[in-house]
Amino acid sequence: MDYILRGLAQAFLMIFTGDGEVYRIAAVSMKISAISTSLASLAGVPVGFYLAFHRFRGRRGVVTILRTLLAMPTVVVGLVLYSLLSRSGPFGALRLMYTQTAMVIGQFVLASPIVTMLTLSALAGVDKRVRPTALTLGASPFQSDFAVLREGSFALAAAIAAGFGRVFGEVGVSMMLGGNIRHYTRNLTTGIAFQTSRGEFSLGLALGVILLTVALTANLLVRFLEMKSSKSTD
Amino acid sequence: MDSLSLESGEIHTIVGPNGSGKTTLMRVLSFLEKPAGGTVTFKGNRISTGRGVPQELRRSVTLVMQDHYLFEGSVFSNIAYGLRIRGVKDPGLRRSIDTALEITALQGFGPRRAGTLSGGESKRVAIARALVLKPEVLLLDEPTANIDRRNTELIEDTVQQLKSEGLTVVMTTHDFSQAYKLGDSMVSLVSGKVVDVSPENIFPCMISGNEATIAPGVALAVQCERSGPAHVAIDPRGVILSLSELNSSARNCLAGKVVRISVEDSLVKVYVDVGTEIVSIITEDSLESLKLRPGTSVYAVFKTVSVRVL
Repeated sequence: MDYILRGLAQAFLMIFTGDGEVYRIAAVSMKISAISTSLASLAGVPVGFYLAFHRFRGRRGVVTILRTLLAMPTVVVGLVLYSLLSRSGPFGALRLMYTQTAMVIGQFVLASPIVTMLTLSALAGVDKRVRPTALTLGASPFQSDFAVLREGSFALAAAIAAGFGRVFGEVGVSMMLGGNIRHYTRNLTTGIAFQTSRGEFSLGLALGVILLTVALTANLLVRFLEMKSSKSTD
Repeated sequence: MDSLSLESGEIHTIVGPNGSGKTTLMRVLSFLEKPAGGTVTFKGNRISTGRGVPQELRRSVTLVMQDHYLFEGSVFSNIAYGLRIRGVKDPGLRRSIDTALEITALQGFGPRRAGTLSGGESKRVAIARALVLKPEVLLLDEPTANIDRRNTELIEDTVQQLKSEGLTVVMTTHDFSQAYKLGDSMVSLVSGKVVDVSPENIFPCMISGNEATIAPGVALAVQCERSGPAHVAIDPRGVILSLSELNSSARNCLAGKVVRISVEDSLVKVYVDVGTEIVSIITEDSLESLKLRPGTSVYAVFKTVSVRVL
């Protein structure tokens, strides 16, 4: 117990004194996850929108695939992408392995299904009267789609926050595609695994506290946005 | 329906029982739905051809739905919606919204959140949101349904004001008095068809043999070869009121009590509860000579030929 308490004390000291190593690692996490979530939103929101309002042949199959991807372990996603991006793989010539770009690609693959499925669910819950109301007030079909998005904005924001939460705390993809290179691809999750294995418990704890804080904040944000969304549909 | 023609610059009321197709008709007129058959012609343009309606035409017609929806946000942002998508900006935007709020007696409501409004206030905001766009045709689907008396009067005042501005209004309603009060013309709708009968005394019924049952224990003698569910219309001018049971050639003689009496343009409408409410139109002289008052027991008498199966 003393060991844990000493480690925690040193961890908080590192955080509050602005330890360079800790914040550099945290910055890599924030950067990679923010970029990948943004790209996942750009892709996932329109796809989720299309699935919410269009019926087409094969739609059920698409939704099933997305649901399966939601449940995919991160290390399996990492493994599949590793096989594609490694030197011997079909995209080996791009030399993306052990780069931040590879991590972004991996986290994009992880976040997209969540953002897409939660967008679908959010928009399917928007009041059905929104679109005809917008149309009868003179909106074009595109403008009426935008009205639906706006009415579902809290739920959409919750979908994006949930996507961010999933990738911020993952380790499988980051480790396999990033390689945990110091000052480059070492993020909070790979850093915790690495530092702890080296016996640098305090540093690992410090990274863990930051990870936990951000993850908790993301979850609280999702809950808050979901509550705002359900209040607005009452 | 075979055809329905609505002249511009008038208030048209469409009346009919639940399920008669009033809301569907409004959705067709507002281009939200295509008709099941036939065509809609607006300003000389045939609309229901399956192609997209030109935006300019679509923006000439605005519908306030019976079950209207207000967007998240304030009253101001709701009313501004249609103006903003048309590219209207301040100060014109604000002026138009202030005018719309004044017409619908909603001064000062601008900053209020849409979710905090009462049913009547919310309906008036929906009307203001439509009016601010200055459409050529305003469609109102049951604008005073489930609204309290005060808000109903405010909405009726607004509709009457619109007439003087040359707007074409098409309004559906259950309330015949309201239809007579506000409308320049009235259309009766039953099962999706325009019918050329007075809208009062239209009843859903079950026909069996030569009897149409319009309410529990209330069966009318009719001349009809078919059976099953239908609607019947009784001409209110053909309903005779008698203080005693008549022994006459009229096959229908229903005992009831006078519920209310209204006088419009020297025509007296007497509403009699015979198990369901039947309207009789009589003269003022007849009203006085029979000394009819609410609560008076009477017999509503009418011939089989006064009952039309629709």
